[in-house]
Amino acid sequence: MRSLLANEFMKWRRTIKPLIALGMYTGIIILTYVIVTSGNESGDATTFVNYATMAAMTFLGIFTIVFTAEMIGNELKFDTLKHLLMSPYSRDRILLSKLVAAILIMLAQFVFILAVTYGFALTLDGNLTFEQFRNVLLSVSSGVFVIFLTLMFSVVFKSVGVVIGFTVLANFVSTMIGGLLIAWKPAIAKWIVFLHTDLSIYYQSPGFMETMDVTIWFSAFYVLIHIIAFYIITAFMFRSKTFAE
Amino acid sequence: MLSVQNVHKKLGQTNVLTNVSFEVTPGEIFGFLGPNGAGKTTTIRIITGLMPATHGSVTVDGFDVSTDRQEALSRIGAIVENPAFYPYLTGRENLIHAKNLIPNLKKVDLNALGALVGLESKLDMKVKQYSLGMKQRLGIARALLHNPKVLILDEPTNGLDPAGIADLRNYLRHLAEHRGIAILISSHLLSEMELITDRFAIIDHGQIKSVQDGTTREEGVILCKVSREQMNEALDAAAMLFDDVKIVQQSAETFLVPRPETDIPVLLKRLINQDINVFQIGMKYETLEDQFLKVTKKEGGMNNAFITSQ
Repeated sequence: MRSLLANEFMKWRRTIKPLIALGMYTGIIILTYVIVTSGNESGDATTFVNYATMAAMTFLGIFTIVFTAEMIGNELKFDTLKHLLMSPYSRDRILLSKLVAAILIMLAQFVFILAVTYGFALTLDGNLTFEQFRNVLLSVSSGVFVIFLTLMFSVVFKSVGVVIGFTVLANFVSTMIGGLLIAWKPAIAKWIVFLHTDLSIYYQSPGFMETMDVTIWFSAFYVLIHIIAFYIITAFMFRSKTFAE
Repeated sequence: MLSVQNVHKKLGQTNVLTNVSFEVTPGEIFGFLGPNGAGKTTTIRIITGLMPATHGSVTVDGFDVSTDRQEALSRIGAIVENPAFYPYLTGRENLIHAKNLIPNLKKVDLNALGALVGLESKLDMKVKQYSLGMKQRLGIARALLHNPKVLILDEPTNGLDPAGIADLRNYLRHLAEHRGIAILISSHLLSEMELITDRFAIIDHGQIKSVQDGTTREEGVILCKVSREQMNEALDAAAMLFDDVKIVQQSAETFLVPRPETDIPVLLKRLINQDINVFQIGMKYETLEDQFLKVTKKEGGMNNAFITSQ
């Protein structure tokens, strides 16, 4: 399993995209720093961390979709999937290695964002609280959900572009419909999983979730059920498809 | 070493393979011939575990590919269809990637492997800069990385220049003879297959039509060239000498006598005694292409596209 993970990391880090991602995270954090510290009333560390992580996490979500979609999509594009599937390792292990690699890569970028953000925050006035750090940590849950969803689309569609498109579309449409339903039918809205993926919302905008009458445990459990279902579907398809042209 | 027994593959309502059986022994180079769509790649996909068989079994060194997958596939090195690599990685990184796909594989001397296929100075180039021939060589290096007992090569000479093809032929022969590797080669290049293989199977419409060996290929006929004016006289002389076989006039100046090489002196003597001018006499052996066409045409084979591409 370690050797399979080493392969996934090698394939990821040898493209230009990780550098672009890290550059964009740094850029958006610096931009936020400049905006927060400019003007008559300089913002404090708390305000900066809130905005910087929010902005960088948006980019992290996009890059997570791209990197995960390419994990299987690029194998099909370069016709290298057959070499993976001819290996003595089982298909389940190969898929699991891709999933674990995608999660670790997302977490590594998240740590990078945290390090850069908190590094800049140290130069500002104000205290950084545990509650704020907890909120940032909880927002990672949406990244994990997106990985499972993207991986599932990856075994269905051949094109990386289509996989990215479907994942973004599913996220966007479901969140939009969910937002409308919260206003009109909150009892129905609570069954839209995309409204539960970011657990930090319970602390950042508690009223939003109170409208649906749900708890953080309900959301965590509901998201967990979905990612398990996504993985079962993904594993079944990955095991049974021949991936022949 | 490699045993394919009664393999049957059905896709939808179509029988893609029907009772395909053959064996490749250690040290043997076995050719796998067939027109496009005959079932060669499907068979190779089943052998390499890419696709399950509907019925039948494939064993490698006694391990069944479907039930002892890890043991069986650890013993196979293969290039299926075309050598595919990650273009943004170097040749060396692609080999490291392949090494990581084999469980419990100890250290591999990648430089030696690169030298073996003539890529020693190119291993640190990105694969997107490789020519097709270089990719073929790298594919062979990758297939040999873990010292497999069975080597499967699908169209291995694609993209290789004549010198590269000759090198590959010598190298495969060396592998078979000195390392005892069982080699299965699928190719459209019949002349190449004729030079490389010890035995070959011809597959058409998903069925093995014939499995032949070197002995079968040795069967030949006497080819004799005489002057046009004396052709009828020569045919009569040959017919009188060999009344148990059918003499075939091949062209205005040549005819064929289906007799062994030992009968050449007798025939030559008879023709000379009758004052017939003989310009050429010798054995004409049936080529692999002749045998292929004979086998695939028996049942009105769909090999026209294949023939014209040669």
